[in-house]
Amino acid sequence: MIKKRIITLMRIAMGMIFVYASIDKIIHPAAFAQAVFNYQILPDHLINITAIILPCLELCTGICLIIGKWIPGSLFVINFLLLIFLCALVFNLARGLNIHCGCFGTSVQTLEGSSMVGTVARDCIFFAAAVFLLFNCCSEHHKDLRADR
Amino acid sequence: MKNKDFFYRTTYQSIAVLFISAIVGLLINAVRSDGLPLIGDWSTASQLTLDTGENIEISVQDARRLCLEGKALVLDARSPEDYQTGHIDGAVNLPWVSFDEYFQNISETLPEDKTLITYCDGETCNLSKELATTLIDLGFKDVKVLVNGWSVWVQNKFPTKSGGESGLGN
Repeated sequence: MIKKRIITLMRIAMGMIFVYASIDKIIHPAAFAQAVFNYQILPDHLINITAIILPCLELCTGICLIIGKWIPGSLFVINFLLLIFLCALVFNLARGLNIHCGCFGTSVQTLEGSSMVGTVARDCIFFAAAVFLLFNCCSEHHKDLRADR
Repeated sequence: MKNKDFFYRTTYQSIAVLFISAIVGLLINAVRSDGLPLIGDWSTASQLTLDTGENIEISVQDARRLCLEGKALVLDARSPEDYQTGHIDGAVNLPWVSFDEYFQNISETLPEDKTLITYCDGETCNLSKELATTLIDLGFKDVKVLVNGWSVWVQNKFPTKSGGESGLGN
């Protein structure tokens, strides 16, 4: 029972983090597009469309997690997004590019190397939590199947 | 629940969330006044054009000429380590990653009657552009960007120096 409550709290917290992360990006699309450009990973013609859709994807998945709808699908998307963010950060850290990650806002200055490491560490924690939630969701589904038989 | 496969459910939910997000994102972008074009122009020329229409890119020959005439101050936006390894002769190091800290030290020495030329290294390096736009926002009127500055300066065999204290120039 307690475990279930903790998992529900984790899910809602993850949803709130994603909703919070999306707000500034939705308010300042041009600044977020610049942040996407700074990563120097996407081809130029995909930068704006990413800056338009990605914050809404974060918002939608965040809301789904908070209200408890489409949880497996939302968790899958969130895992995928966190993995992409993590890879992009590590890639830029490895090639010595100091950029502002644009994770929670668009108005902060560029990060120094040490801050980039902190951001990577934070994303690792988020990713681990998201993977745990997805696996838990999967195992809950199998438990329900067994109970139904 | 019993008959539904978990992975099937996960897949269609993921696609649905992605689809709804795309529709919502495109709708918001279409109705807002500061919406983005779906395909943006991220070329260097476009990046260095201000809202006023002024292009702040400077060629390496013009930069060299202004330096020789004593009409420009060159600002190195790279890290202190890169600056000490080698920099444009006469350049002052103003690392973009520690802008606030370094700017406090040199702000009073930045001439308002000279052209400020910022540079970093690499075609896609954004530090010099960020530094230039910040200086313009701070009120400096004549600021230019030397794109891929360090490499083109070295290629043209213009004078360089190594060592020197960051933020003070050498």
